[in-house]
Amino acid sequence: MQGTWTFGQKLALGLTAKALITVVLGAAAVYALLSVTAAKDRVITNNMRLLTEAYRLEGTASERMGTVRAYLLTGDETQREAIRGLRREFFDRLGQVRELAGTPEERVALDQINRDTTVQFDAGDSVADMRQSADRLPEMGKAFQEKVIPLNKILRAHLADFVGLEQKNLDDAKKEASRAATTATVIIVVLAALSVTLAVVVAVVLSRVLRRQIGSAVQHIQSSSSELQAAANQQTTGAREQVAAMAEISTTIKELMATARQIAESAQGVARIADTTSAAARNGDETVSRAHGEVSAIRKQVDTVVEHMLDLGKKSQQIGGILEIIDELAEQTNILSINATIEAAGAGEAGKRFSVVADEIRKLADRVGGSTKEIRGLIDQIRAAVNAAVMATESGSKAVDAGTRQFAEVTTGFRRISELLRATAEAAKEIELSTKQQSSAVEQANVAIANVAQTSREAEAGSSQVLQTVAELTALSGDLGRLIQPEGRA
Amino acid sequence: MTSENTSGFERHLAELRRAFDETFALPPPQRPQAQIEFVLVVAGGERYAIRMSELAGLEVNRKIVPLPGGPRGLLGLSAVQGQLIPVFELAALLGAGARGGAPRWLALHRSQELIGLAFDEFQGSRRLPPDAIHALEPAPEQTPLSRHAIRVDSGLVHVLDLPLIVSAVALNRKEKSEQ
Repeated sequence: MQGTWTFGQKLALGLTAKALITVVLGAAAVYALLSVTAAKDRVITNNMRLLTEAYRLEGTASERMGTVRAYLLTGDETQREAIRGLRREFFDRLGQVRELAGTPEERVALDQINRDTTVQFDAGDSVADMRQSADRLPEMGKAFQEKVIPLNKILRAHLADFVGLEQKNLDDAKKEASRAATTATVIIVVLAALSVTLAVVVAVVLSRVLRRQIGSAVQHIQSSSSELQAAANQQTTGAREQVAAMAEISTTIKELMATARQIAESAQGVARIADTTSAAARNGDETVSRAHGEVSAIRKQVDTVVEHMLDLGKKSQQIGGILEIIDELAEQTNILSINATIEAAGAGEAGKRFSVVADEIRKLADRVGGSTKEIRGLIDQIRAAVNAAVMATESGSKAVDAGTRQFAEVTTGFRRISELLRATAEAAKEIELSTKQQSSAVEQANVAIANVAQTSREAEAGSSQVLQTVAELTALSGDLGRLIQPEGRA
Repeated sequence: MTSENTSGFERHLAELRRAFDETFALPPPQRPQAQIEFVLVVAGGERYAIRMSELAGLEVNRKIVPLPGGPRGLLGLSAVQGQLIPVFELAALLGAGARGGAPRWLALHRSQELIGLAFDEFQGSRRLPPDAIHALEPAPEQTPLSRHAIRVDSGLVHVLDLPLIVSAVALNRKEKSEQ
């Protein structure tokens, strides 16, 4: 709680406590003064009045007793009237005294006085009535001596007791008032002493607390001033280095701007080349498509050639079959001719001409047989050539198929190339746009860096100002320390 | 097939046609004297020549009915020219091993009776002058059934002596019957 309170709050707390004690002290003094005043007023207004009224009752009773005596002596009716008036005055005053009486003793005494007075006054009035007839004058004297005077003594004794009681009450009230005044004086003195003690304690506590807090704050200020001085020195050095770095960064950014412009120009060149290449790719795609059509036609022609070749192979096989028949016929002819020759030779001279014909037929058959062999060889060559051609054509067909697939792949590749070139052109344009944006951003960065450099210079100047302020702060903290502690203890 | 082969084939056909036509157009030529005709056959993988004068005929693809037992080289009986004749395998008679499969050619020889000699392949006939026939010196390894040879297609071909062969067959048959 103490650590969170400010110096002003603590000072206000101390002063407030002192003010409260002062208020309490003042209130106690006022209370004591009022109590003393009330006691005195009660003594003056009540007890003194009761004593005075007691004396007056005593006087009124004495005056009425004297007036009765005077009437008895003189018989003057005015005296009789005065007696009646004194009777009323006595009882009126007695009523007033009863109103002022506060204690039971007073009431008891007043009741006794009231009864005694009534008896004594009634006895006096009866004696006074005797005065009106001369016959009763001796009785009157005797009654006066035997009744009224004793009753009067009793009344006077009770009145004297009441006076003594009131005198006693007055003395008690005086003593009570004096005791109250003494008590108030003691209370005021005690409260004054407490106030002085508390003021001293508050002053001591505040002095210690303020010394401790302000001393700690002064030490912190001195430590912080040292740190601030070091930081300001470091900040000054950093600001100088930052200014130098900003200069290097500015130079680098200028180079970066030049490079960005070159990139933008290169991107433009790339976009143009990509457009040109895209057009070439489209031409290539069209060329490949045409070539693909031509290859497809070639494939159909190759299929036709293969079909014709296979047909040729079948025909050559059929020729071979026919040739076998021819060969067989030639063989049969040869056999027949040989047999004819043999038979002709067996026929002697008559068979010579037949032998000649058979001989020629055999020659023809031989030549046919040889020719069929040659034809068979040729047919075999044809069939081999056809097979080779078919195989070659099938290979060609496969190659054409492969070429067709490759043409399809090439077409796809050209289309892919075209798409990639289009994407490349768009990317190059985006690069160009981005590079321009980058150049703009770099220019903005350059301006910002110039501003940063200016700020750094201002920071350097500010750091110098901070150093000066730190020196002043150090001096102020020393002054503050000297304010709370002597020079030797600081 | 090249164009050269095609032109050669056409030329050969034209020559054949012309020769065939000339056969009917020219007068019958005089048979040169002292020409000996040979028939070229293949038996047991070897090429042989047979004098046409020793032949009674040639047959092909004749059905041969095998006979159980019999002398060496006897294939069976066949019907030729309206009679049953014995057929011997020429290669077996010449001492060469059989090459598998029945020979389809028959060379007929008539001595006392008609006999068939089966061989594998018929390669046509040749007409040669007598001086083209070379006599062979008898040697132990030489076959006794051939005493002459002719040169055919730059190769030497033995000339079979069918009477000797038939005599040997007859001798074998006689020995077989005596056994």
